[in-house]
Amino acid sequence: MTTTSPALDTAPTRRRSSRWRTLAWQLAGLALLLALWWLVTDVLKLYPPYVFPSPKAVWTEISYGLWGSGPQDGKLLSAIGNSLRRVLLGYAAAVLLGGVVGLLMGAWRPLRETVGAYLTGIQSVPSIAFVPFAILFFGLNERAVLFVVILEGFIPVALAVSGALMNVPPALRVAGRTLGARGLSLTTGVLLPSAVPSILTGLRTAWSFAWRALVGGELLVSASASLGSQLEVGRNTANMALVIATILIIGTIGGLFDALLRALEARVRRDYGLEVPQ
Amino acid sequence: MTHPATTAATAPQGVSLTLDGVTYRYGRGHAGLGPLSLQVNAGEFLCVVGPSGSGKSTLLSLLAGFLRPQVGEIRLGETAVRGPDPRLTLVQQEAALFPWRTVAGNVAFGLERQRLPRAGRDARVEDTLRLVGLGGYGPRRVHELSGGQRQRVSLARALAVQPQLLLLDEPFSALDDRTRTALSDELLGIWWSQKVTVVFVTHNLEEALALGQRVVALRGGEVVLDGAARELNVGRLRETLEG
Repeated sequence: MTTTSPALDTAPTRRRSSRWRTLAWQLAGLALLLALWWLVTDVLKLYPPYVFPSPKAVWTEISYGLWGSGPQDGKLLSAIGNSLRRVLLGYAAAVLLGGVVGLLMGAWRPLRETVGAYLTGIQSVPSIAFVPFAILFFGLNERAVLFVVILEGFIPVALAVSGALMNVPPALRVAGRTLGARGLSLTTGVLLPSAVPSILTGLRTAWSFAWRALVGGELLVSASASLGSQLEVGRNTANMALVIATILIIGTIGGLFDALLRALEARVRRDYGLEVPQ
Repeated sequence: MTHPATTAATAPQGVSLTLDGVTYRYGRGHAGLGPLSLQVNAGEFLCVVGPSGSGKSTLLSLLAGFLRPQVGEIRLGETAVRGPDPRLTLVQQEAALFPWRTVAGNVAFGLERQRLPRAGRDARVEDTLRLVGLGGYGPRRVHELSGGQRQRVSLARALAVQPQLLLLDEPFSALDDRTRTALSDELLGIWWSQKVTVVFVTHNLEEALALGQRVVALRGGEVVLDGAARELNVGRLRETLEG
């Protein structure tokens, strides 16, 4: 007996071709944007270069900042390294803390109704608003930045975990319980695995919050070379090309991590049978 | 009817079930169950029928140990049911398979909780899958299966732990007629070979009469008819249920 229908057989091929098509559209869109930018700056010269530099000027800034060999070069590269180290540390702590708090909120209703409501409120406060508090509390150092990153990252994780646990289909709970799973065994064997797709969505949101919080924090706390401090350097030296180059790098790194998590999420959704072959 | 793995997946014999004045009320204005007294013999195949709100689901929740009777007692053999009991399993209306596990992983779930050693577990899983006609399907993902195959896996998952009482909550209601008939035949074969006690809840009167040795009809939370299936017919059941 075979259960694999022709529709399922061709699904991976169709998925691959759809992925290539999407990539082609994205590249075409990027080329169009670059062309417009070049037209406005190099051809029409609508703005002076110190207000809106050309793509070439920004590229020069990026290339010197990443792989230049002069004494003032390579600063973007070390800034990326420092910022990535900070955000990965903060994000890992946020996922751990958020996972534990989310589990507790999912298991204990009074906690969900009190702490859960406060967390939703705190989440609506822009991360930059916590930076002055962090500076006063921790001082003008890396710990202040990490505090803001963890605070912004752990809330979406906690809310996603508790929400996902509450939304586990009752039939799965019943199946687990009738097959002998209780307490911790039910949580680890049924509830958490069932919640994984929703938790992954929360992890993506947490990543984007943590990344934005990091740059916001680094703008004000320039403890060492960082992407945030590069923005500040660009502003202080009226180097718009550096500012735009740093923004592009921040966007690219943020987008790459998001794409990684999105791919993981898509894989899990496929394995869980949550995606209908198109 | 014979099944390939009938001997390999030998289960303990069925257990008797006793409901002694069992009552459960949800609150003002909500239907409940009872007082209900019922004796189900070890190895018996009992079908419970009734319209929506007649108390069928409440009865199953009480038997499965998810609800505790407010009055009365439920006993499996000589011991009272005070929560989910390892001697019984429930097959639900929807297959409720764990999508993060393979077919074999689903069937092994209850065995893992019983801490059965790996070798014995794998053998039991394969035997039980053969019993429900899914030999060789172990490595597949559950979303690759048809509705009927999923319900077969659900049945295998419940049978693998070798229950003495098997509760089934309208397990074939979402299936087409042909698959339902095939699965009903298989269930009868499994019951016949395993000697497990079965309580099968359905709103389908024909199905109840075809499967059960005995049929109990519920209306408004009370038993309005209790008789041998061969002595009943659809007309009489319908007449009784409509009051």
